[in-house]
Amino acid sequence: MSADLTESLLQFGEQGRLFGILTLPASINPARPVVVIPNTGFEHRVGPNRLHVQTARALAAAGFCVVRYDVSGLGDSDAPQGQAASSLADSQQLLDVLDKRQLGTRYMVIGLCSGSHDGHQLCRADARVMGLFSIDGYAYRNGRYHWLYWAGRLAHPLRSVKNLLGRVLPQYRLSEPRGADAEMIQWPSAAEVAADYQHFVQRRVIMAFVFTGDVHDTYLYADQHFDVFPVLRGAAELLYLSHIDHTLTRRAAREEMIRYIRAWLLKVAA
Amino acid sequence: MQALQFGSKQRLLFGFHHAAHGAARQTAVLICNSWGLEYMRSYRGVRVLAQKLAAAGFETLRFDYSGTGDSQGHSLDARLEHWLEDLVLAARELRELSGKQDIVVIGLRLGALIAEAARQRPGLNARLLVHWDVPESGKTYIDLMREHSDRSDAAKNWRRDRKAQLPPSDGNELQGHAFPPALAEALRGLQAPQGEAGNLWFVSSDHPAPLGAAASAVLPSGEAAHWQELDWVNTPWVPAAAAGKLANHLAGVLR
Repeated sequence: MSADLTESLLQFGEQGRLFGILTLPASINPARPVVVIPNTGFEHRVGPNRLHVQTARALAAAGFCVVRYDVSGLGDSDAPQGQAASSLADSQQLLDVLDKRQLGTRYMVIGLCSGSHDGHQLCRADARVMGLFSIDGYAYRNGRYHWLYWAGRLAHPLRSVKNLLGRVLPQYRLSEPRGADAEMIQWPSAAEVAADYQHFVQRRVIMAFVFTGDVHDTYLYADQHFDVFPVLRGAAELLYLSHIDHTLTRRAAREEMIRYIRAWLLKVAA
Repeated sequence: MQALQFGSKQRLLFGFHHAAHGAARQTAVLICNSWGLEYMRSYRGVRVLAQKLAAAGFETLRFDYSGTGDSQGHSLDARLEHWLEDLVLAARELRELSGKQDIVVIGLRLGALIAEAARQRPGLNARLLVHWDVPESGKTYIDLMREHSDRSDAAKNWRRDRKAQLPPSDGNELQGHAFPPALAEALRGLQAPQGEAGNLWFVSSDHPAPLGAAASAVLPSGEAAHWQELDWVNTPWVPAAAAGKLANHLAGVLR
C-alpha cells in the first residue's frame, strides 16, 4: 500500500454494529464521488481473493475515498436486533455517516454478484448514488441467447454430454455454497429491472456492466445486456470478459478488472 | 469488540480485540487464522470463537497477517518470516491491551503450524498452544490447496467454451490467492507439533487425531469441518457449538 494512503476503521449503525474500512487518498477532493463496495456473497469486506482491498487501494491512489463494508450478518457486522436485516438500510446508514464526514456528496457503488444486487437496490432507493459498476449482476436470457445456446449444442453435441457429466462426476462438480448460504438472493424480474434502468437513465446515473465467462447459464454474448435492456445502449458501458471467472481467481484478471474500474471512474468523475 | 491497527508504520496489522465479559481471567487468548480460501471460509467462525472466549472471561485478540485480509502489505510480498514476527507483535499487543501476561495461542489449520513455528520466538512465550485441525505439515496443507485449486479449475474449464478456458495459474498464486514462491517454500517446511507438553489438539470429527498424542491432550470438537472436501470450500465454516466447547474447556483448565 502506498505510504500516501491511510486506512481507518469505520463502525456505524446503531450501537456501532456495522463495520467497514475507509481508505483515503493523500488529498481529499470532496467534488469527487465516494466509492462504496459492499460484500460479495458470504465473504467479508476483503472480497474474493482480496479483490476489494486491492481495488480500494488502487482507487485511493487515484484520488478517491473508498469504503468497503460488511452488511448485516456478514464479516464483522452484526444482524440488527428485533428486526429483519436489510443490506439496503445498512448501505444508507453508511452514506449518512459519510455525508457527516464531508468526504463527498455523491456516491458510486462497485458490486460483484450479490454486491451488484446491493448496489442496484441502493441506487434505486437513494438519489445520492450517482453511479453503479456492476460485475456479474442481473442477467436475463433473450432470444439470441437461446439461439446461441442451441446452435452451440448442435455444433458441439459433445458439450451437452460434458455438461451432463459435469453434474454427475464428482471431479467436475462445481463447489457451491451449502445450507443457509445456498439461499440465493431473489433477483427481480427483467421487467422490474428495465423500469429501474429507465429511471436510472432519467436520473443520469453513470453505469458500467461487466459479465464474466462463468455466468454462461444466463449470459453468452457481448451485447446481450443492451439487447435485453435497450434503454442502456448509449447510456452505459458494457464489457463481456469471457476469459475471466466469477471470483477472478487469476491475478491477471483482478489487475485487468481494477485497471478497468480505475479508468472508468477517472473518466466519469471528470 | 474493538477494531484496531497495530504494529509498525511499515507493517500495520489489522485486528479485533474482544474484551472479556465480566471479570477477566488471568490468561488472554490470541487466535491465528488459516490462509487463503480457508481464511475466507472461516472468518465468521473465528469471530464466533473470539466471542465465545470473551464470554468465558478471556481477553481475546484475532488479527490478519501482513499482506492478508485487511492488514497492510501486498499479498505478493507476504513471507512466513513476517507472519512469525506478526504473531509476536500480536502477542505483545494483546498483553498491552489486556494487562495479562499469560497467553494461550489458538491456531486454526495453517495458523496452528505458524504458531508452532513461532513457539520459541522471544516475546511469544505462550503457556499453551491449541491446534485446531492442524495439518501434518505445511506440505500436506499446500498439497491439499493445490489439489482443490486444480480440481476447481478443471470443473470450470469443463463447462467453458474451448476459446474461453481459464489461463493457467502464473505460479504466484494458489486458489486465487497470491502465493509467492518464497512463501510457498517456507510454508512447506512447517511441521505439526510433537509431544504433549504445552499442546492441546482440538479435532473436528472428520479430521484425523494426531498420532501418538495422549488422549488427555486431544479434545474432540464434536463437529465436522470438511476441510478436505472441495464441495465445502465455498460454504462458511461457523462452528458455534465447537467454539463454545473449546472456550468452556479452556475456562475449566486456565485461570
